[in-house]
Amino acid sequence: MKKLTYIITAFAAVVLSAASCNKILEEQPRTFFEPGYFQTEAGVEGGLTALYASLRYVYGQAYYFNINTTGTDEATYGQSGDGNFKDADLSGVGSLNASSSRSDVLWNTVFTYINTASGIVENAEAVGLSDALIAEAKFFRGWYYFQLVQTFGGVPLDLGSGDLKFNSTPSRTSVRNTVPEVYKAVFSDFEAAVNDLPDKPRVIGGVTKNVARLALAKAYLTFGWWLENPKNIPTYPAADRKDLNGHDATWYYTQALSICETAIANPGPYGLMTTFRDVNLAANDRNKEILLWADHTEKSEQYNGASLGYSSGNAPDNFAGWMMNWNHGTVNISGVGCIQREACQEVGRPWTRMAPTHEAIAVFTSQDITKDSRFEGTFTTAYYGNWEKAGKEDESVPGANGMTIPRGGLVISFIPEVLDDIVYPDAQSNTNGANVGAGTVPGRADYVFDLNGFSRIAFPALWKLVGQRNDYDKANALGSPNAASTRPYSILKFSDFYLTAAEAAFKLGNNTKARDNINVLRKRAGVWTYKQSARSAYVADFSEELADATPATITLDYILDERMREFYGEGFRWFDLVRTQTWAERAGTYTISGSSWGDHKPETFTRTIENYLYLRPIPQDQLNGMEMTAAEKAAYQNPGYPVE
Amino acid sequence: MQFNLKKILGIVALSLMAPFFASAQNITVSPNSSNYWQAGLISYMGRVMYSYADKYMISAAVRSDASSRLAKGHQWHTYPAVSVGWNIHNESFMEGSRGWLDELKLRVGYGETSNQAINPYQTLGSLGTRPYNFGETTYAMGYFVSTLPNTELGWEYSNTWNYGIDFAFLQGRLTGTVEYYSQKTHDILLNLNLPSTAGVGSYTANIGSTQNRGVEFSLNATIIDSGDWRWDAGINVYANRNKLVSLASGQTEDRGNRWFVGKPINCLYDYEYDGLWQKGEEALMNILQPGAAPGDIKVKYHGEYDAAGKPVRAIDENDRVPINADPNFLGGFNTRLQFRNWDLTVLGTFQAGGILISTLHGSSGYLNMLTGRRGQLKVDYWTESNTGARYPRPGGLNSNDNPLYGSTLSYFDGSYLKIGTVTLGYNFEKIGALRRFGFDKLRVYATAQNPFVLFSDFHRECGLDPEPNSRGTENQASAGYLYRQKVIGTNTPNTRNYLFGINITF
Repeated sequence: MKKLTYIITAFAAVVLSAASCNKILEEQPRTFFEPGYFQTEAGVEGGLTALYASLRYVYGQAYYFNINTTGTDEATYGQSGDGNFKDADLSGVGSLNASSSRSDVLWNTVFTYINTASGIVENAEAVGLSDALIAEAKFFRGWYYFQLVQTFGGVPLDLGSGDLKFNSTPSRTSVRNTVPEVYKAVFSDFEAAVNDLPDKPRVIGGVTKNVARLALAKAYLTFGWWLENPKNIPTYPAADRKDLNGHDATWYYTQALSICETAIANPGPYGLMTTFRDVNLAANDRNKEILLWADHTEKSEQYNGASLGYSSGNAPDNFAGWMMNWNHGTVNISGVGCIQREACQEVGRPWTRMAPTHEAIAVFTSQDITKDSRFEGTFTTAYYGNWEKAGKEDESVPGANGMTIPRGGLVISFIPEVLDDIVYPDAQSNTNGANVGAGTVPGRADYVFDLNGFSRIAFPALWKLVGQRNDYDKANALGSPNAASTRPYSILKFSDFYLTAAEAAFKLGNNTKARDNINVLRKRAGVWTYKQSARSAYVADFSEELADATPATITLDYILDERMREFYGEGFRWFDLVRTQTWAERAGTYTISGSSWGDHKPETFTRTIENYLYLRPIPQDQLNGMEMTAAEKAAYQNPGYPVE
Repeated sequence: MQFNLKKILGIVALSLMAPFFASAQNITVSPNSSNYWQAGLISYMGRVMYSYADKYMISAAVRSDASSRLAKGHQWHTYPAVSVGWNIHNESFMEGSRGWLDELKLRVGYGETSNQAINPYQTLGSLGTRPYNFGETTYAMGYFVSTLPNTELGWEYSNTWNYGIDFAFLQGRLTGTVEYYSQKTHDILLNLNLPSTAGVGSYTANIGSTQNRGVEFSLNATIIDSGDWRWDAGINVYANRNKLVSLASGQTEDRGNRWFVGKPINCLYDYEYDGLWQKGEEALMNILQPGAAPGDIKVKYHGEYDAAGKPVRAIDENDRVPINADPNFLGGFNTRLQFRNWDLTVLGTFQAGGILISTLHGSSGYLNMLTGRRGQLKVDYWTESNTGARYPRPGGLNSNDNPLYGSTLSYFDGSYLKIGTVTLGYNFEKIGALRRFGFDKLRVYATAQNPFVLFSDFHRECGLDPEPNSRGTENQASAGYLYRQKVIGTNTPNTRNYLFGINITF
């Protein structure tokens, strides 16, 4: 009996003490936040910062830059272009499908941030956040849906918990809305943003009324074209060409034009820079002409999101500037590598993945490039020796025609015309052609590529996006050229108001307004303060000549040419061609010389651009990740692409 | 009953050695590298054991556990285990075998075990961080939902049936066991990837059930024991067959997560290497892989053929198939031979079948790109005069700088026989001279560690150890596989060692 009592007492003691230790089963994280944090004010602001940070994963991502540029009338694949670039070129050397199209970068990145934005909008009211901050979240949601609908057609507005609602359920099915449904949501978000955002940015680079105005004007313009659909390009999912708000294409063009004019009249802190070169010059980063950018910094590796010393080329690094850059490091004269890789905008790191086509160069040279500064402000056409920064002591190297190239002198030039007196060597060699098969022109010490020599392996590099570091001794050292660019990547520019207005005016038949808006930018392009190829100051003003040279009647082709001269290589060309339905006619063929050093024989290539390509394929990962029947998955994919 | 409380506080200091900066070196601790977690477990257990006449034994246990890592309402789980044993050799009807049979025991057991090996706080979901700068020097931290909460997360539990026979013959000269087990695991806890349109990357869930069936066999024998000679040997062999039985969603496959019902849970999902295209195969090549040339990788086609026997489409995503990478069987052996004062010991392990994933040879390692002017693994590649090679022609079709379908080059047959140690020793025990120095025992030995690897395609190819040394996302230029798959990556390789030693006892 005593034994039994002991057993019972012991058991009771155990049970009683067990009841008091249930807090062992409670969890309370201390080094990270869980989704409940979004219901606090600090959490909502953290969510807004994440929306800005998300821009780095799309803009500056070189493969996304590629899918919007290669295969257009701007560029083709370069000598080192791999499948990503060859698939996008549509010239028969690759195949663009759901597993290979790099538009997957957009799809796979933005839904998380659309969800975050919806979460902010929902929770903000409870937390008492101002309308201006809610409007920032709405801007980002609208912006990402706008990019998605332009790229893929109709996309899902419901992520799992309702249209435009924050989703916290593990949803593995998805239904695509139609294009008009998505645009209705985009307009609603952008209109709220235009209404509630402040005139001045809350943080450096923050979105403001005018940023939202530009986005809204572009969205109106694009939707107007979609309603009109002059070339009968199909849309998906199937929908009538009807606006859910009941307006027609003319209404949208009118609205786009009037928004642009309002913004131009009320620029706030924004405006045009004095010269075109100033807009994209590294020293002027974050200037008043750039409305929205994906920021980076060289002052903090942690907040830069990428290493300051070396990058192997992944988001969120800003490595788009490596793509259209040729391997200048191959230049070698008498054993001296004349052009050392330096962390400056004139040199940069070359991956030779993309190259400008001769037709693209011709769009620039169709204007007088001694007067129109935009060619010099887009491409690097002159390479100067910087070998002393690598410790090479040579005072000079032998140049062409028996002349010498002194330290810091001009070594390589790209001349964008066919020269009669240029002599190319037969093959790449150490004594001729500076080891890169360049030619010589009588009377010049530098080695020259003329237009015929613009090939997939040697071409004028895209100057705009190359990284520039300020944390090294520029006179004596080379810096960290192998890191990704620490410069912000431009997304929206004030100059786009003028060209968007011009296009809207053109669609409304208002030739005068179209011409006037275009001339604002052409006049600005005529102002020079510095000549990049000569590395010297040059003050001139050819505004009047350029304004007079504008044709009396503006055509769509002319507007697209002006957009290329203004925005070449910024990663948005595909949208322009798809909106105006001119992709096949402008990019159907292209000319460029070959892939080996010394190749200066231009060849013409044909691209197969069919109508179904106007919508990029839904990424295969999305289809694999969904729990739907095979028939539903096949219907989810855009028509024309093989279902996998 | 036990309380189990763990608190782990870890801080990893990152030293930012930036030789490009003229300023003093900084040590900063990135918030992403600091961690603190706390988890709790409450368990109750009881066991009863009973043995009758050393012939019949039974053992029964009951366990009840609760873990803080699981969702409320699913935290407790109670489960039993029973096993019975029967010492057949002690039975009266086995009297006659007493001379040669020392032990014969039959064991049968049934048990349930459970597992909560997920990270703490998984049920709560988490926010990821995005550090950002506004302008050059203004910094802020961004947060976004990266994993969803799961309010249904419960224990993963297994039912196992185990049958075994232990035996010993001839006064212990031959002993061994044979075992068969069948285990079904329910509510497997794994990370489930969601499609992009869910707005969140992944969440942890009980995703389905798997089944493991296997046999284990081990034998130890004293083969020779007379006079100056003695030879002991032992061998064990085991084989396991794993199968994903069902998925919680009711689907038969989940390609995004590499789960296929009816296949092992760690199967591969890739194209199947089928040699290289050769001259003369252009007709087929132009249908299946337009743009290819002789020397490029050919993969198996799993589609349909038309009336004329031609494939109806080019190679695409549908030709990626689940591939079973599990070995047929594995095992080890040991043997010791002694002659007077000499002794020789050999230990080894072996595997038959299975697929070894070598990221060094495939696309994710970026060491076998066969293009460009860069460091390259030494491989036998196709040229017009060397058409029988395994590796494709340099500069062929590529994707992301690697040969197209280059991931198929990572797969090698996983069979091998490894001699782990060979030791030869000599015992100076009986030599009188020893006593003069005061030694009781002196033994000299020489050991070779990892001297040979036999029957391994991979070892023949590159000389490395044919056992995986990394997790699927580690030690390679870009993560090519899932974390739970084991691969060969750029980790420190096994070394071959030669040791000489002296053991002295005094």
